[in-house]
Parts: sequence; C-alpha cells; structure tokens
Amino acid sequence: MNQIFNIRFKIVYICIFAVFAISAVAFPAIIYLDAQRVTTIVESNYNYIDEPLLVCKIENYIQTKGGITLQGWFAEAGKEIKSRKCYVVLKSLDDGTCLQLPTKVVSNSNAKAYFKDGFNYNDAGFSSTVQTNYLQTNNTYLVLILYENDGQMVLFKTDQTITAGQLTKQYGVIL
Amino acid sequence: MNKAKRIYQHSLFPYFCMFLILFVYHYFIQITFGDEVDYFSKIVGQYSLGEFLSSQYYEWSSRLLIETVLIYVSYWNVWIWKTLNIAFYLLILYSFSYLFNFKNKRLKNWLIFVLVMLYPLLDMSTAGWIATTTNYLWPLVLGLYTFTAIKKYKDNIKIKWYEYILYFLAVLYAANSEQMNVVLLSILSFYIIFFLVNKKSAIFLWIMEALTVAELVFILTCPGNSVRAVAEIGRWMPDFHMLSFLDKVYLGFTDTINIFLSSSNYIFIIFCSILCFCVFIKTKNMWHHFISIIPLGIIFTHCFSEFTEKNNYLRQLSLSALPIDASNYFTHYLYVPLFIYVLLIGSILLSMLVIYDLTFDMLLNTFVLGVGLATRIIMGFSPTLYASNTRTLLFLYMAFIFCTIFMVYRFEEKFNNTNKNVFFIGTGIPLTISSINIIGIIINWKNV
Repeated sequence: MNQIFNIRFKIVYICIFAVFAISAVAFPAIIYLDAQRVTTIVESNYNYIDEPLLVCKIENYIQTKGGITLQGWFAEAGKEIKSRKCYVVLKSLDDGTCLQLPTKVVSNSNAKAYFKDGFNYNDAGFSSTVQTNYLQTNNTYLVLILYENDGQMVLFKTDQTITAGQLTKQYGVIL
Repeated sequence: MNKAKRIYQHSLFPYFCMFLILFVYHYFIQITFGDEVDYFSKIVGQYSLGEFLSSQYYEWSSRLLIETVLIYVSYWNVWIWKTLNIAFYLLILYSFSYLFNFKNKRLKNWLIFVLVMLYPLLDMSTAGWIATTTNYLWPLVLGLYTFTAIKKYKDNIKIKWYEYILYFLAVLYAANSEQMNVVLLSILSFYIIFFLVNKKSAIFLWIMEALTVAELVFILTCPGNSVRAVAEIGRWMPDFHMLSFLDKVYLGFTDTINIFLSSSNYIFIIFCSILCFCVFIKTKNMWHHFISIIPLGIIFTHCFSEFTEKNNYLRQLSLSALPIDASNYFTHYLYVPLFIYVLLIGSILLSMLVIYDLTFDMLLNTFVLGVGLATRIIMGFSPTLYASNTRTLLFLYMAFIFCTIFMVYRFEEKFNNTNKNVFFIGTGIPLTISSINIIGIIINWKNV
C-alpha cells in the first residue's frame, strides 16, 4: 500500500478518535439546544391579524420535569392545512417580553369536530414545550400564535393566559 | 460430468447464477401497483412527448430523461422492462468486477454476487417496480458503469470508440437523478484531482464532469422541483418549514442508521464483520480489536432488542432514534441513540484506518462511504424523507458493497492462505442468509 501522508499514524488515529468522542457528546447537546430554541421577539415587528374565522384552542397544559407542554389546535375555517410555520408566543403581561417557542404539528381531530364543515383539519394540532426557567414566577403570560400568512409572519391573539407559579383552577400548578 | 464441472468452476458462473435467480424472480413480478400503473403507463397516446416533458419540467420534476424512458418502458410489454432490469443487475456485477483486479476471479465474482443479491430487492418496488427501478436502480448502475472508465484511465487501457458513446449516454442518464448526480460529481472530482496530482491526462473525465455539472445546474434551476416540494410538504410533512438545518441533518442521519441497524440488514452486518476480521488479521493491538468490535456489538444489541419485550437497560440502549422536536426534546434518553450512532461511525472509520493505514485506499474508502452517507443524509432536506422509504438508501448500500469488496481485495492473500476456513465460514454464513432472503422473497411474491 502506498503511504501518501507523512504524518504519523498514531497522531491521526488519536485525532479521529478525539473528534468522534467529542462529537458523540456535542452532537446530541447541539440538537438539544436547537430543539428548545426559545427566542425573545419584539412584538412591534409583527402585525396582529384580526380574522374571525381563525380559531385557536389550548386544550392541555402538561407539566413535565422542568417544563410545561402546551397542546392544542389552530385553524382557519374552510382552509385545510397544507404547510405550516407556526410558533407559540408567550407575552408577559407584566413586562411585555415575548418568548417565541417552536411547535410540532400533531394530529388532532378536535378542529374537525369544532368546525363540522367537511374540511380536513387533522394537521391543525400543535404541541410546544417551554422550560420553566424561561418563565418569571408569578408573571402572567398571554398565549399568542405567530404564524405565516400569505408569506408574512403575523400574530394572532388568543384569550388564554398562564400564570407561572400559581395554582389555577383549570390546569393545576404551572410552576 | 467434466464439462459440468468446468462450467461450475468457470469465473463467470456467478453471472449465470445471478441471471437464473433474477429470471425466476422477475417471472413472478406482476405490475399491479405504483406510479407506472396510476400515471406513467397512460401518458403515451394521450399526450405528446413535448407536452409531457413541458408539464413535468414546470410542475413536477427535473428527471426528464429518466421519465421519458419510464413512460415508454411502462407502456410497452412488461417483459421489456423485465429483460432490461435483469441486464442492469448483471451490469452491476460486471462493473464491480471490472473495478477490482482480484487474483481469484471466481472468488471475486461470487463475493459480488452474494453482496448484490443481499440488497433487499423489494426496496425497488416501493413506488412501483418500473418507476423505482428506472429512477433509482438504473441511474446507479449506469453511474457504476461510468466508473469503469476511471479504472481504464488508471490502468492505461484504451477506451474504444463505441465505449465513449456508451459512457456518454450512461452519464447523461445517471446524472439526471439528483442523488446519483452528487455521487458522480464527487467521485469524478476525486479522480480528476488524483490524475492532476499524478500529472496524467483525463480529458474524458473532464467531459463527463462537465455533463454532470450541466445536469446539476438543470436540476437546481428546474421550476418543477420547487412546485413539487410545496405539494410534497402539504402531503407528507406540513411542518417542514419549521425544521432547522440541524433538525434536517439529524433526521437524515438517524433515519439512515435506524434502517441500517435493523436486523435484516445483511450488507451492513457483513461489512462490519469483514472489517472486524481484517483488523484482527492486521494487528494484535487489543485496543484496535475492541474498537472494531463496537459496530458488531451495536448491531447485535439492536437485533436483541427486536427479540425481547423486557424493558431493561439493554433495550433502552438499543432503541432506534426518534425525531427530536418541540414536543419531546426534554426527554433525555432520546439522545442516547444519537450518541451511539456517532460512536458507530467513529469506530468504523478508526478500524478502516487500522487496516489501510494512511494510504490512498483509506482516503478512497472514507470518501466513498462519506458520499454514500451524504446521499441519504441529504434526504433530510426533502419533505419526502419518510415517504421515499428505503429506496433512497440504494446508493449507501452500494457504497458499503464497494468497501466490503475492497477489503477482501486488499486482504485476498491472507483470506486465501492463512485464514481459509474462517473466510469460508465468513462467506458461507452470508451466502446462507442471502439464500434465505431470496427464498423468503420468492415465497412472499404474492405480496409483491
């Protein structure tokens, strides 16, 4: 076999070993940080949409270790979901900061039952998780939806709030 | 009797066996489902070729050459497709065989025969037999055939005039497939650099490279591809636009390794076994032995998990990687498979380094595996990652087959002399598995 590199085998071996050993830890860590990417947005950068046909229902707040998962659905009457770019935004009613959380599209049949118009709203469901360390204790957060409408990101206001650190009748302890 | 023995011992006997098996297999194939039944077979007679190509170009796909062949092949008598498909399979055997100068040609052809037959043939029926083979298998085979031109350049063998035409047509068809285009571009560039470094002329490789680049530009600028992407997002992955770059890499990578770690993936098992075997032949260093056993350990842990219902630690360690998203990222054990998969790739690379040392062979094998893996990881950037099913793994399978043959090629002497029995066990077991696989497919042909 023709030796084409004048580098010692041992050095290359150790380098490759080190790269993969580090990657084995770093890759999952980066994926974790990427998946939970909570960003702060400026509310004034977006327009609010006032569309009576839009409906958003937050159906569940599930407490997990160190996080709160919001589950629900979001749809416009008579418009099937073809592609979706949608985030949950938690707006603090105390200081006005807005946290943008990524969502995952989940199958949900409740929108279909709600509208009863024969359209397919199966992909209207969403699930989103925020780690509690992002929320300020005793702050009340208004739930907003940031979504892509005709190529523009717009905000939709829901009537639902969550209060970090308080017992609520509907959902139990949030923090 | 002697004549029969002579035929059996002939180096081309594996070709005959392959033909026979494929003939029986194709005899039972019925074209009853898939894209050709639903759409492509109805084009000829209803639309002119120009109308069809124009609508495909603007609304669906850049694979105009491939789909032109597809509409005619699916329109004609099915035995035309069957004959061509068998011929293409034999061309894989020929092309791989041509690329390696084994001393024992019979051993080489048997090895290639076994490895090619271990490829799960049913993967080539997932979008319909004719549609899948013309879109995936045929470009791959023609691409592989193109690589024999590189070998001819390397060995200073004169390319005949009609071979130039065949290579030209082969590149034209193969580069029309996005995945094969990437493979061709990478391998041709690799060897063009190799010939430049060695101050050797490779004009025809430059021409083939230019053709491939032209087709890549055509693919990237085709309006139909973006129209199709929008349609496919709505159909298969509505939240595709929500995925970040890393999400897509993660999905492409983990989905690929998930499939390769499933217990029925014989090609990967054989690759890892032979790799481990070569490391044991090459060195007595216990650390290197340990690293080479890691891939096999991971495979067998995964196989074990499919046979046990017990919820123990071993099972948790052998879980397939699931998509990580906004709904589950906080579940820490979901990251364990990713950790294991990176270790798997790392240990394969380190073991290859041990057997090839810092040579051109190491570079070539790493490059081929890297390109093969990239062709599947890139599927993470398509909304049809899951819808395209296992057929998009074809190029990675062939990369593993190439690297397996390469290992046996380099260690042929040692396989033949000092470790004959072990080698026969090593090839006998895969051969048995391969036969079971083929028999299983034939028995289940009604489900095809």
